[in-house]
Amino acid sequence: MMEVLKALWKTSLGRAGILILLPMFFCAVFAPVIAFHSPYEPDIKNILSPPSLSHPFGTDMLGRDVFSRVIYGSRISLLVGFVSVGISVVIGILIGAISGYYGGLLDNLLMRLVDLVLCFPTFFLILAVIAFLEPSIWNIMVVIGLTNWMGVARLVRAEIMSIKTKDFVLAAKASGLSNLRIIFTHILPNALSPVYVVATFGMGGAILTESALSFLGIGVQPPTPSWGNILTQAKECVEVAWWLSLFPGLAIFFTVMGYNLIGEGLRDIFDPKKRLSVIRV
Amino acid sequence: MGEVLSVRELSKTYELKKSVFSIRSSKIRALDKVSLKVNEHETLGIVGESGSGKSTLARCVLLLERPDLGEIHFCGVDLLKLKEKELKPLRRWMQIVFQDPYSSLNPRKRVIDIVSEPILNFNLVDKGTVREKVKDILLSVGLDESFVDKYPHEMSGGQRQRVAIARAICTEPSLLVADEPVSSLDVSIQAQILSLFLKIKEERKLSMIFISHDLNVIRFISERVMVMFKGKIVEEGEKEEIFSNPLHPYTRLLLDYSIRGRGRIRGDEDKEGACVYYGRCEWRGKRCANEAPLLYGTENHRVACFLEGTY
Repeated sequence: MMEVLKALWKTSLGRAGILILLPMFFCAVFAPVIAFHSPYEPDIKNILSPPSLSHPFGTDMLGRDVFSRVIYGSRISLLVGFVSVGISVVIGILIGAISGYYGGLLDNLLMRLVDLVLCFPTFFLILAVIAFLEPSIWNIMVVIGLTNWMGVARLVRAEIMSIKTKDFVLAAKASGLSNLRIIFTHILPNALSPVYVVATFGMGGAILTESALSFLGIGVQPPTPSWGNILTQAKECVEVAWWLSLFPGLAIFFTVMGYNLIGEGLRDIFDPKKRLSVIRV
Repeated sequence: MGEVLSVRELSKTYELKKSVFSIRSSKIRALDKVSLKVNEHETLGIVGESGSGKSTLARCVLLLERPDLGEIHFCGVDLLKLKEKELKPLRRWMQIVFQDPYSSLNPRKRVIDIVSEPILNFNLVDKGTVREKVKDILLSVGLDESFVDKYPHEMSGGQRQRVAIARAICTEPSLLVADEPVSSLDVSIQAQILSLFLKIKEERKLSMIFISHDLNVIRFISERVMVMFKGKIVEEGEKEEIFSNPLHPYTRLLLDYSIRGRGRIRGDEDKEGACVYYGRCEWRGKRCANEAPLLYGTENHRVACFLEGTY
């Protein structure tokens, strides 16, 4: 892990990504310390006041501090990124590994399942599911996770199909190892590099999806601040209070950009054709 | 001398589909009724050009791939009748060394992990002492202590092949299959690795199947020789017999190549029902076109060719 981070730091894109995301994580973890106003407490005297020293990002129509709300909102967004991508990666690796290792009919069935799920219009599926379940942040993360594993599954399957023909896998079989142990100790560790890349891009995507859902009012429910639902409020007074839409928008922009840059950096590191490559397979 | 391994009429066919939608598929006969036996403390050399089915034979004998038909008796047990679960404990006694030491070692594992894995899997020693055991084995293949914690990419081809040999002998097998283990090495390293094979065979009373496309290598290492062509055995016998009195035209061709560095190769064409070597044979007759010869001869020397008067 440290080896990967070090190599990432050496790539210019990766370094830019780290420099963008590190402050974000810092803010999310230390939100109560950094945000000097409460994100929930209204201040009637300071409704829609422009950015100032005491309110760096201004206040909203209830007089709540936008800076604090954006900081607290980062917790939601980063959490959504990790949990939903975590879910989709686990499902994707399992299905991809089974499919690639065993092959044959099972492979065919699982890949047709992938094709099937890929045909669902993801966003509308999420809308439909949220219509039945109550719109909570956990439901959203699960649904985003359940609709994004197909890319990972295909990727893992392809990697495993190429790795399982290598002689060290046959040697492991000759050593009497069980299929499960061969998959987990010999094949998967060598198949995961491209998954890291896809997962990193996926985090940016998941954050965008969550913001869009919250913006539509079916994501994170007020008063809990999330970048998406701050933007919802902002749209009603975008002509008078530009700060209300600018700062959460920038937050989304930079976070997604940070993830994408890191993804590009990882892609460079894991590319065996490039000189930067640290991982030899 | 008892038999360690006896293989009867092993066949394996691969189907090649031209594309996803094509109904017709071509079949490749990688092994066609191959029978062989390996005696205790003996090296059987198998020689043939690439595509002759040598590697498939190696994999099928160790059941790393399932053959379609045939019997494999290992120390009296018919391996093909066993379930995968019953087979696992037996795998300890038969090990393999592959051709390419760059793909036969997991790039993410250190030497200690690679060599200790089979030892621990078969519970040969307990975890506390496994490091010492690995060091001993590495010493016996000519690698000192400093290699224990190295990764494969930190070593040269010859060193990697030594690690692969260490992994194969660490479970003290009675049969070692070496699938072109020196073909991807420099000539100077080849000699070292070959003598290493001879040394461990003497020390550990191993039986070996040694596969190579190089007759000189086979001559150096084996006691009996089998010549394969297109999935069939065309000639087999004692080493001295084969080298001093080659009977099959293909064996002669290979010998010509290895001694004089030249030989004539005719165009290759397949003919259903003919001798496998029909397409290339310089002396082919009418009978060769319609009938495939069987292996014929004495225990010391057998050949599958109509030219050899025995028919």
